[in-house]
Amino acid sequence: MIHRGIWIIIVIALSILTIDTRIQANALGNRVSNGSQYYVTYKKLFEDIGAEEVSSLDRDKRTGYRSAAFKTKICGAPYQIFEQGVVYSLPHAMLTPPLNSQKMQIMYYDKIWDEWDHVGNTLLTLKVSLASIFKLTRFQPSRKLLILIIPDNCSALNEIDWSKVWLIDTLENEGGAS
Amino acid sequence: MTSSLSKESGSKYASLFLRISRSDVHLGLLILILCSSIASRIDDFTLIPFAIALINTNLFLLFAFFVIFHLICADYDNRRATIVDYGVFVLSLLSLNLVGKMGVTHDVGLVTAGLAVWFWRQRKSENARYIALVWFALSLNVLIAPLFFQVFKSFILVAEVDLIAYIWNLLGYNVWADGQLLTSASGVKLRMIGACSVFTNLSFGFLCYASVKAFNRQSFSFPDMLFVAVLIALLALGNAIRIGLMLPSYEAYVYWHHGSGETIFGAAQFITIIAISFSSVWVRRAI
Repeated sequence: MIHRGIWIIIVIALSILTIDTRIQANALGNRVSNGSQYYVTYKKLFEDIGAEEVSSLDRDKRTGYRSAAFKTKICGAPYQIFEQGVVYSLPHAMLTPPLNSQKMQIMYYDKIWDEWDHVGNTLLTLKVSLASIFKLTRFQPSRKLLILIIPDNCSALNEIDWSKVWLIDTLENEGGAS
Repeated sequence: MTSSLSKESGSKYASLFLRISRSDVHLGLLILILCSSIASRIDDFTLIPFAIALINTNLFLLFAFFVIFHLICADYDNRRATIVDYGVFVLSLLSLNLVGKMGVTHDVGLVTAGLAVWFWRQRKSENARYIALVWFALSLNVLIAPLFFQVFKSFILVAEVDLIAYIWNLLGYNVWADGQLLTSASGVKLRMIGACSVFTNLSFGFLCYASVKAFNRQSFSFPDMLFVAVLIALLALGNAIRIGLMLPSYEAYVYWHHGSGETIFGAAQFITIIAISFSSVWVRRAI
């Protein structure tokens, strides 16, 4: 009987550990859309190149995550930026006009892609998450990436170092890491 | 002296694990998976949000967990757990925790799929095949169906839109389908997205069906294929009618999309799934 009691205590302790892990994983997924410290960072990156915010939505219906638009001095139309989870395919709105007719850049940690690469994104998620356990990365693990929609006849904003958005130091300075 | 003491305490710990029954190990694992499933809906580890999440958990999901619990207890295996039982427990625990820490969302589905295979291999014991069936239905719901939908989403949504237009045209209404877009004679346009699809409800329907079958210790046979086909057809038809009812006006859309109509539709769908699931059991008994 006593053995069963000890086993029940072990199972309760492991259940608490599992719940805690799940909640941490939830927070990992929500950090961009809820915490918005990533938003603070990329907004600052735009402002550093002289761009100003035109609009911002906490939850864009097209993707389900935050989006914002910034206008630079050189380009006439605004750049749209979407926060997006690492999923199998792009949201429907990005596959249909008008968004699919514009040039797109996907930024995730220190990588930039011109097309959706689910395998690449997933491998990068795993790589950074694994490295973070052993504190071998300067990035905060995140399942969210950024999609930049570039207006016609405008440059790709190569002067911006997008990796700063996921840097632990940046997030800690902004008070976002937890 | 020290070494003999440590050996003694080591053997005490070993004897603890040697005396745990196989069923207790599997009940423990069931509780871990249930906790992980419920916790996927909360952001804060306090009692009240956890209790609310438990209450809000889909009834079919809770019923499936209850059925596994019932089957393990009904065929209680008092034999001491083997190294393989502990291996399954530890592997599942590692998967839920380490993979969860990496932010991968399908860890619960991977564990339930593994358990379905493991119990199926033990199917000679009385309830193992039924437990395997429910674990499989859970894997279908949390892993296989979402993956399938992600891959074939665009095809499924277009097919559903075509079906809705076809059904409403048969009923004499002018509804046009264009890809994922539905247009009615009133001018209302609806774009079908993943959340509107009947696909998620199909896997919940199958989960309920499989749980009811397992609860009554009935294995799957050919008539079940027909029952599942009828269930799929009724759920697809119900969703097609509901979406069609949104088309006449904006007010109709609000009512059937997120107003009282949504509750009516949810209740009708729930009753359909329960009725088909239990009908199959009664028909089998009558035969």
